[in-house]
Formats: sequence, C-alpha cells, structure tokens
Amino acid sequence: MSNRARDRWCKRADTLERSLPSGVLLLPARGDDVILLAGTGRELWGLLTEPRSTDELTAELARRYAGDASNIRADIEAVLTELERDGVVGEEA
Amino acid sequence: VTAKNTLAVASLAYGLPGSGVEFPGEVGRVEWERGHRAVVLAGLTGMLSAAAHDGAVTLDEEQQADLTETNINAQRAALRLEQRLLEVSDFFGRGSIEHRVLKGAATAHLDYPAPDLRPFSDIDLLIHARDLDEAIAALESRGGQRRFDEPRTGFAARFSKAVCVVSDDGIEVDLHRSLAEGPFGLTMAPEELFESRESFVLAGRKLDALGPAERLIHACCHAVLGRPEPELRPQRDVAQLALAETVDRDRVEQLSERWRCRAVVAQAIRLTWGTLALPADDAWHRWAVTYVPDRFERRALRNYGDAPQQSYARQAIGGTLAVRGLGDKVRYAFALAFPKRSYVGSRDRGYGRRLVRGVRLWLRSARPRARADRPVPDTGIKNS
Repeated sequence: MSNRARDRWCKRADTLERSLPSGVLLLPARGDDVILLAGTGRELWGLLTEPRSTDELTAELARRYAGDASNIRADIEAVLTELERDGVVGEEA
Repeated sequence: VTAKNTLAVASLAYGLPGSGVEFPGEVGRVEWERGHRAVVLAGLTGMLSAAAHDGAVTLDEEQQADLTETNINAQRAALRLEQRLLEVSDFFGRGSIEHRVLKGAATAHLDYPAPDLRPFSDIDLLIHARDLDEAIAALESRGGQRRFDEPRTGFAARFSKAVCVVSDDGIEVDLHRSLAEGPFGLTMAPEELFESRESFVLAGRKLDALGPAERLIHACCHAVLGRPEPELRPQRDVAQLALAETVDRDRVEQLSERWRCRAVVAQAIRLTWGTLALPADDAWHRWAVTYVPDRFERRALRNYGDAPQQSYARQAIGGTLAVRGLGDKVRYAFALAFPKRSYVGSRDRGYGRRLVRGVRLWLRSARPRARADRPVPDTGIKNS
C-alpha cells in the first residue's frame, strides 16, 4: 500500500449517496450492498469530494483528531481498500 | 396516516417557514409507539431524524435508536429505487422512450433542502401515450410483470393514469400517461407535461423531471385525489413547492384552468394550509379559500377523497364525463362495460360479480348528487 500513498483518491461519480444524521449511506451504481459510513468514516468520505492522496487524507484527519498519524494512516488505508473493492471510490486518472 | 397523529404532523411541518405546528414537549412511551409507527408509514423518518438531530424534539436513547434504524431502512430503500431508476432511465433512453421522473426521486432532489428529508417507496415515470405500450413491453422483457391487465387493448395508453409494472424483486415502476385517475386525469393534456422540464443529477447522470408548476399541480392531485383520507407527505410536497420562489403562480393557474383542475389545486392548498397551520394571509391561501369550483369540477370531485362513492371503479365511471369526443366516449364506456376476460378475472373474479358491483355503484352515486352539487367552498382551515 505504501507505494499507493501518492495516488489520489476520490468518490466515484456514479455512487448514490444519502447523508443522514447517523452517517452516510452509499450504493455503488451496480452494487447490491448499501454501505453505512459513520464517525470518522463519514469525515473521510466528505474529504473525498476532491481527489486527495493518502498522505493528504492522513494529515487532515490527524489535524482534526490530534491522533497518531501512523495509526490514522493504517485505518484510512484499510477503509479505502474496502471502499475501492465496493466500487464507491477510485483513483484519480 | 392522516392529520390525527401529532408526532407525524409535527414531523411533517418541521423546518417549514411560517408553520404554527410544534413538537410535543416530551414524547411518552405510548405516544412514541403510535407516533413512530405513523411517521414510518407516512414516510417521514427523514424529517423526524432531522428534527431530533437539530434538537427540535427530545427523544430518549431507545426512541433515538428506533428512529435511526427505521430511517436507515427507509433511506436504503430509496437508494435502491434510485439505482433502479437509473437503470430504467438508461434503458428507455437507449430505446428513445422520452420520459420525466415524477414524485419520489424528483421531489426529493429538487424540492427539499436535502433528499434524505423525503424518502420514497416506488418509481414513477411519465411516458408519452404513444410510447406507453413500448415502455411496458421493455420492462416486461426485463422480467417485470404488469400488476393489472387493461380492460381492452389500448385502453391504458388512451385513458389510464398509469400502469404499474412490478419486477421480480418487488420494485414497482409506475408508468404514467397522466397525473390523476378518473375525470381530472382525463381532462389533462398529458403531452403538455413534456413542454417544460427541470433536471437533477443522480450519481453523475442528468434526469429530467416536470417543470415546477407542473410538479405543484401533480402534488395537489396526489394530496386530494389519491386516497379516501388525504396522506400527509403529499401535503408537505404541496407546501414545499407553493412556498418556493421557483414556482410561477400564473403558470399554475393557466395550466390548472386549461386542465380543468383548479378546484383540485384550491382544495389541496386549503388542506395543506390547515394541516400545517400556515399563515392564512398567504396569496395562495387567499386565492384557494375564495375559489368556487365550476359544475364540472364539483361533479368530478364527488368521485374522489372521502366522498361516499369514492373508489377506483367509481372514478373510472366518472371519467366518462371528462373523455373528449363522442368516439372516445363510446370507446371508453364500451371498454369498461365489456372488458376482456383477463381484466374481469383480476378485478371482479367474473362477469356476474362485476355486473352486481356496477349496479351498486350506480345506485350509491345517484343518492347524494343533489347535496354534492352545491358550490360551497370549504376553507379547510383548522389552525389559523
């Protein structure tokens, strides 16, 4: 994953979404499962409105939560991998 | 769900400028059970969730958990419908079947501050009458099944409000020819509904809806012509549109006059203003309380709402008075009097039962005529 740190991630334009008080619901254009992102997952999703690298995402969430950057990076990478597999995020061309 | 449940009505009115409806101070256990059920049935979980999130209503932990769960379910269903809407719209687009998105997704994205405030439960598309049979066949080719057969071949494309096609996963797509069942649906000129449009973007795709004035007229039809007791959510749709600056009042009046449904708009405004306790001095309301329906409108209205003879069959019979041209009147009446066997089987389980029901309807409709013909406008105001 580290060689992907410079890749820029963004929401896929064909993702359907609903922002709720309890989180954000996502449904890929051709997927079956609706995904619920709550808490920091929701914040991460909000940041992906614009293409951002893992480094940039890590820096922004570390600033907001004053947390350990390496832990935050590991969490972000895990979530991004899952969201990419679900078809709701992609890398900017 | 009618205007009887205070939690549902307060949810309905939440965030609407000028509304005098407020949430109850505390929501007790019994009130919550009834109220929450009413909110779910009325499709108002989005409104109540927003109100709870903003602190307009105080819920305990258990109530909040109930609401979070039911709202997520409602929104999840709406997303699946949007996904199907995109597929169907794509499919129709490839077949050059022009369409407009009605109600649900269009209303949620165009007329509310955020789409989660207005979940929905089916897909409605307006189709040109000339394309209706092709659109039905297209959905059937993908596994859809028509819910009801038509009385005679070609009846739906010429006279019906809509045809419902159900897919094998239970999602319903209503293909509309017009905006209302019965007389008011038949006096509309459906082709004129395609003359204006407003677009919205869904998952990067642009979809066309009706123009704002047409959306308001449709919301009014839904509010007062849909069910025997008016539903709540269409009333909020009426308020959202009527209070929006994007709706051209003159266009609403012109279209509703041409389609002979000004009485429907007036009744929907009076009903909505009453339920939501909106200011009585608003221009829409001032017009609505003074509007006197003409003879056609009075007779047509008898087929809808809580009128004693309200039913689909009654609306269909009442439609005879609105069908234009002698040839079409004869075709319409003949199709209803002598429908094909498959239609009778699905609706009446046989010609004998159909005959008995027809006579009963005729007898019932004959009785209250003298009283219902009187042109007395009802102000509908409960809270002003």
